[in-house]
Amino acid sequence: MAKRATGQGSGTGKSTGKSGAKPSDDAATASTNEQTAAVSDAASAAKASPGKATAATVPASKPPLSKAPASKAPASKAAASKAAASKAAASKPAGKPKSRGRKPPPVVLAKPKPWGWIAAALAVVVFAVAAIGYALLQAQEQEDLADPSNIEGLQTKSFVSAQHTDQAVAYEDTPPFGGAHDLAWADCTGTVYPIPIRDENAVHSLEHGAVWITYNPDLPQQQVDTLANLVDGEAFIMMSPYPGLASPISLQTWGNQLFVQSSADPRIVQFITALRQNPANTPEPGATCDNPEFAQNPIPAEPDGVGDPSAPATSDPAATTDPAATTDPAATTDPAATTAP
Amino acid sequence: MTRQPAGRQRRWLVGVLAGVIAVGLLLSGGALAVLTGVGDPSMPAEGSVDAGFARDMSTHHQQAVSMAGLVRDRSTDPDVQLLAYDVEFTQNSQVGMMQGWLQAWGLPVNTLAPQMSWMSGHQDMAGGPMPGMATPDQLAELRTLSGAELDVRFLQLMIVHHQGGLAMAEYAVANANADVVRRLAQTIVDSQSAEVLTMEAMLRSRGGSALPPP
Repeated sequence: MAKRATGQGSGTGKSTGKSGAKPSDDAATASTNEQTAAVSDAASAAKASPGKATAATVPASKPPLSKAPASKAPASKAAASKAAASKAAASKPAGKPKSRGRKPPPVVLAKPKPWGWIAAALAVVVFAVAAIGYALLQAQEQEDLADPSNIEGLQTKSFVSAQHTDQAVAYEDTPPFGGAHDLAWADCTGTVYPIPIRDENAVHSLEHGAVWITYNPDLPQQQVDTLANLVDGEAFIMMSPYPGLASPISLQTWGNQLFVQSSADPRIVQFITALRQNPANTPEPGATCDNPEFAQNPIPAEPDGVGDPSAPATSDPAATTDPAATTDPAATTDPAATTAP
Repeated sequence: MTRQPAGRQRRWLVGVLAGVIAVGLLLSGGALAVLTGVGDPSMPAEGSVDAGFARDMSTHHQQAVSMAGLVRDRSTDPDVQLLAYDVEFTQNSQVGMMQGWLQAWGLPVNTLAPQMSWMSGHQDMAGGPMPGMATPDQLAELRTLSGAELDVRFLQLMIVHHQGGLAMAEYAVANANADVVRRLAQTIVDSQSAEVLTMEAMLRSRGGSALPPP
């Protein structure tokens, strides 16, 4: 930028000393860059007006020689440098035109550091870092609500089998939170069950993306009411008492379980917000929670099989892994054929 | 000529600084674009009309799907069955669209925020309950009915349900930000208005009369 300003200043014809050396530099580079353009310009000019051909051919023949005698640039040379400078000015953002129209001081002058440039660069960098940092922060905040990894004490497990069975299943966890399950899902449309419901049906609801809240029957009624208020009227959630539960309250979605001590624990809302119908733990997205028949007549938990893993008298592990047992009823049972996706 | 190296150095420095400024401006431009959502106009945030509509209209639709499914199974009137089938499948796939938006926006499909809080500009409805929803008692009664009684009660409940949904969709057409939301809301306004007229005619021809609108 500064050199262009000096170049224009020297366009007055003075080409001595330092200020003369700079535009010559300019001219040399510009002329090599624009050589072809200049040549073709000259050629076309020569064709158009033979009378002016001599003037035009001077710069055209010049470029090969231009490096050596640059410092004593003739008038045509100065014009070329002027043209190059104005071309450059058109293609680059405008610099500081402070020396425009003024003759450069004859004696120069150790150039000061370009403090203006340094300050501008610093300001831009600081601003860029701040803006990017803020943008990243904002992006992180957005994702927090649906992120279960912040839930303290969350237990996770992956279940590969999602087979349907009409047999009892020996679940490893109490309450279970994934695995083989009954053909019919427990209604989970904000359903508050007054009695313990059958695990095999509840697990099917988890497969549809529902949250299942279970509580020990010992839980004070006030806390039961608090939970019921949370559940009632909400989509994809249900709650039921669970005799023998290891903690007062537990929450389940497919592959996720959390035990808490009280209905006032903030992790309950955190769990529901992050995991209900979360695509990461909904093996069957788009499936419904609606099952009015089950809501009206829930299948009660088998008294011996619930909350007592040491007595799996009612479960038959062979049945859960036998494909024949699981596929056969699916083909014939009506609810599966009409509603199960 | 002796000072030329100093001049070169300075030119070099200015060039580097200009480069730094150019890159810095580019980066801050990008960051500002991200922050202001330029070129990304359809990413509604938590608490927006768009997210509230997607969630509550999903819940609203799901009840219609549930009622229509029941009647499609139990009605013996082919016209009512066809209407129920239409309602069930249309609204079910719309629920899928709306929940897909929420997932794409990185927002939970459901929250524990009060229903209808997104319609804060509508003082009659803000804070719920959702207009037009059948009560648990009405649903329980519907399940006990059959024949012409079932058809008439279904039409009565579904007309009111559609009218309630219309109010929500109209609000979203006027107040949602994302094009995709306003577009679906507009189709709900159009198709449900037409369907209300159809159902009113079907109700009259079956000797029933409409319930008061929500």
